[in-house]
Amino acid sequence: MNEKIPRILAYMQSCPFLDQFVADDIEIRSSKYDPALMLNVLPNGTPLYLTRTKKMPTTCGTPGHTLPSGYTPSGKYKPSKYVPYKTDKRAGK
Amino acid sequence: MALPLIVIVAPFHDEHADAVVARLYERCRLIRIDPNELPADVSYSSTSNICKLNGIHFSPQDVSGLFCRYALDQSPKSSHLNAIESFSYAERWAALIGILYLIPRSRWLNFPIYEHVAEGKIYPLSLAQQYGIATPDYLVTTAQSELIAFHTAHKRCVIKQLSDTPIAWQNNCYIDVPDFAEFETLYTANYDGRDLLAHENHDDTPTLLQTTVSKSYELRIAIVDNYAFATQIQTHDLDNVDNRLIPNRHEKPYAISADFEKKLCEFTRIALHLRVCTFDFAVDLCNEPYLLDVNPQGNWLWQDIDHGLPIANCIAEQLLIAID
Repeated sequence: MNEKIPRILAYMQSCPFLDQFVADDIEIRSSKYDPALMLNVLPNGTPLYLTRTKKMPTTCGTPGHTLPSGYTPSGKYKPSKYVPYKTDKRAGK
Repeated sequence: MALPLIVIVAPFHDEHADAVVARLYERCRLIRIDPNELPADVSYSSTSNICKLNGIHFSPQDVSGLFCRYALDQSPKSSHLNAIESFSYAERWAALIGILYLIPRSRWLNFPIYEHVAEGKIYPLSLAQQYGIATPDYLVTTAQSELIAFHTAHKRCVIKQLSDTPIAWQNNCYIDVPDFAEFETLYTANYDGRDLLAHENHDDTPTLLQTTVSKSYELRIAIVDNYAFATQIQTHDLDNVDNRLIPNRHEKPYAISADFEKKLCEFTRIALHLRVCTFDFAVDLCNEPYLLDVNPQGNWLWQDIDHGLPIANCIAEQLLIAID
């Protein structure tokens, strides 16, 4: 015998953004929570929240730059770090 | 002079909390807690009225702001614990919650009980009507005869879920969280009465019907204390009643009138007792906004990142002001 279901389940619709759903998950899995910074960062050091956008991705280049040294909120000292030039997909930039 | 102390209560994976934390560096002392991973060191002495969380000692009155993105009324207890582990977990949870509740309610964005009250559909929408904010007519019922009468009277209706509980249809079965194969899930949908034709398949779960607003556009408005941040969402596909289903939808920041901003801020603060909240409005062809949904912890990060609305910054600033 079939189980009875709530009426609203007769109105389910396909999720149209499966690719985005998968891409988001890959990005989240590659990120990790940094207890010193108290936020999630990607392997290249970019805060994960900055990658959250609904705009279409475009290819862009990021010049090499030096991250300044300084103290984290928990008092840990982080030395300066050079981030090399890279080309990547970044939405809306 | 000591820096202000701010407490963030959110899952460690919460990116909205991340965005606020990033605005607080070097401006305060920060404690971030994920209730799914209870802090190892917790203490409170009633003699001194001093607490300790994550190695930081403080008086509850010293906390200038607490940003809470977790339903603290629900303990995240694991079902895999044995009796002793379960008891220990409950004690640790009670200690943490007890300490957090010592922090004055006025410092919370948002205090959990008020957020819980504002989360449903029925109560906040009814309260909004009393406050002079228009809402579409709606019906919540288990009775098929009432659904038929409402649908007949209003012709164009949408059906939407009452709670935020996730559910999906994948691989020929219902599950709560789908994997990466194709799946169906619930969005706001045009109601065509298809359930009435197969009524023997349905149980007596309450159903929410709401009249359809003939809209020219939608507004997503985030309120932070006395500030409003609005985004206009153009929907050229008038048959699509859920803007989440529209690919590449056209959005832009929108300036709401000062009167509307004041009314919405007062509604948030005085009626809902909240300091942060997001609202969804459908604006009809006569420029009348109708409140569709109230989300105390709705997503606002896309408005901040894509449209430059400084919501995270505003939350950070408000956390730094100790409101009594």
